[in-house]
Amino acid sequence: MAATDQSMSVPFNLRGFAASGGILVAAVLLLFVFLAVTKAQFSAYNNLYSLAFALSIDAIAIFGFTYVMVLGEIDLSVGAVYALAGTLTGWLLKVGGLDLYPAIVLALCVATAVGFANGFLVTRFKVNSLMLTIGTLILVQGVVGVLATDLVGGVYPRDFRLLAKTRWFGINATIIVAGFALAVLVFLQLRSSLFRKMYLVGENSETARIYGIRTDAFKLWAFVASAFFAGVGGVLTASRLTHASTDMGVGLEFTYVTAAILGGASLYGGRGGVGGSVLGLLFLALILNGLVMYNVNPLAQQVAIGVLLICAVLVDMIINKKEGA
Amino acid sequence: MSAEAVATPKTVPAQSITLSRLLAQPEVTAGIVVAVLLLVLVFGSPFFLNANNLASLQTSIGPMVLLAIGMTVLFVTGTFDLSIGATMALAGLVATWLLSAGLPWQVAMIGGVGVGAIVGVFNGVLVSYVGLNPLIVTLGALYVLRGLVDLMIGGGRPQPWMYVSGPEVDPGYYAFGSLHIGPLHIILLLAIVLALGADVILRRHPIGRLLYLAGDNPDAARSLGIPVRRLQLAGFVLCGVLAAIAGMFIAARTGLASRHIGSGVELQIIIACLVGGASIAGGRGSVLGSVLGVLFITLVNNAFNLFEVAAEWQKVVVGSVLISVVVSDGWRSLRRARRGK
Repeated sequence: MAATDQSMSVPFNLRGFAASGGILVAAVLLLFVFLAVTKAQFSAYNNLYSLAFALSIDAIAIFGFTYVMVLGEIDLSVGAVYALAGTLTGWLLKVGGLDLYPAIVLALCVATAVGFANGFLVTRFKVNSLMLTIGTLILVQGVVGVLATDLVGGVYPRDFRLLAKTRWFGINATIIVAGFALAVLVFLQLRSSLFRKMYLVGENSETARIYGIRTDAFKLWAFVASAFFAGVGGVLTASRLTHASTDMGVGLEFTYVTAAILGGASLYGGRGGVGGSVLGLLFLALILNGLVMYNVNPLAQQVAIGVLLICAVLVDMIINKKEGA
Repeated sequence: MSAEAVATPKTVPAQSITLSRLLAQPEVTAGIVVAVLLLVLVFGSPFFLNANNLASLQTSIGPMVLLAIGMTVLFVTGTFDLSIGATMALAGLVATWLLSAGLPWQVAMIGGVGVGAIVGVFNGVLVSYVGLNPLIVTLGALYVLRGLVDLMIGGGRPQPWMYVSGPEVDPGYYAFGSLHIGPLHIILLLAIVLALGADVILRRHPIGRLLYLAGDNPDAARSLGIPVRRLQLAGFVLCGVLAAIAGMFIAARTGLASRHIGSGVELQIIIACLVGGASIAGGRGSVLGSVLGVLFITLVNNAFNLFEVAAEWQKVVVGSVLISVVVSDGWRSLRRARRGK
């Protein structure tokens, strides 16, 4: 649509992107200041640090997912793959008798293979990714259930439990890794021609094909990346949980869709980015943290997320007049 | 491609029925799979034809068929609804709450149906009139409704008012859950009647044709003066109302308006519809196909219970089935497109 009258040098709708991004930054700042001023326990170092730690793991897992959305597809199996990588690592350690790193590598390979299968089927057979990944979601959830029942009752080995607690320079390694990866990806989004092409594919894959871009390859690798990053996040989360749980990752895909859309992504592709998605996650985390601080019934949290999701899409649509989703 | 699809659901002229064409009809394939599954169950398990098992099958198939009718209409018009499970829970809860407030069962059930209709209007207005994506809207509705259910229940154990039977409660509502005529439960009879009616309307009535046209090519339909938006809105309301009836039935049947009613059912129903030939792209699907899809899902469920296989494997099978249905559908339409050129 818009790609036809915009040249290659303007990869995405800058105005719309800035407008929705700006609103989110302002909302996050306002919420932050509001909570800091009104609730002393919010600005306590421990609270902020644990927010940052939890956010860092979720952020790693949303990177690839965001690019699938940029390309106009969706990966609803992200939460199940996240649980698969974590639970499988534990299973390989306890039942398979592997060492920590071989187990993690193997589990990540399996998770990535699921992403490859998603991407291959979507691009080869031109199927709807929403429907296909609902199938993957259910299948992988079943496998996770089988693995988790095998592990019922025990905690993971000590070295695995300590993984997420690894510290570099006095802070959690996950925060450093997430921050570094985020910086690299945001830099690439702004500078790399590869990423620019990706936005073009997402905005209008027919036009992109005319420009000679291999649209299917982008989609395939985005699904692979989505599963890989979800897998890394899942391994870290499993380490943090210390034991297998069938609830792990359930509903995560919906939180991620909400965060990505809050962060400027659209279900029709061509917009969004990892910076926005992480901001979206931060916004959701602040809302939930604030609700807890204000002793709002925790049961109202779901209502809040649902209302936010719909409002985000409405605001996005008003800003982008018809163009958005 | 559109002209061909518009003429659905029965595109095969009488004189050219060949085996491969017949097998290409999703209803036929789904019917064969269900028949095989039935044979395996009848001959493989001594408990399948047991009266208790048949009764529990009826009460699980009945509500699912109601949901599948609504979802099929939505699929035909090119949209879908993820909030049906949450609607079931809230409608069951509201009806039970009204009942325990001392109101007669008719009023309680009208209240429950009202919940379904309101949810349908909400979804339909946002999707069809405002133009928001159905995934986001109905997902948001799912969150909000589940949150409302939790807020009403207040966390923790079920409270006394959530039970549908008791000394001060109108027994009519509880009767709805256990009433049967001969060996057939009221919910199954209702499901059969509604499914037959909906199937005939979609196939034969002009309204049915309009629905297929609206879903197959909304722009063309709109330029022909077909009220696409109003049809979709009506579909959402129908879906919400049927979900409400299903939810109230389960509350009445189990005697308790639990928060777990309908959890995860939306995906099962979507799978059932896809197995029966519906497509997310709109313009395809039939109630008969979706009912066969429901039978497939419930029989697989039942088989896993009867053969005592862990429930997790059930998910593996259902997920694999969905993937193969989606992929084979994509493969078929690719081949059709290639032949067309």
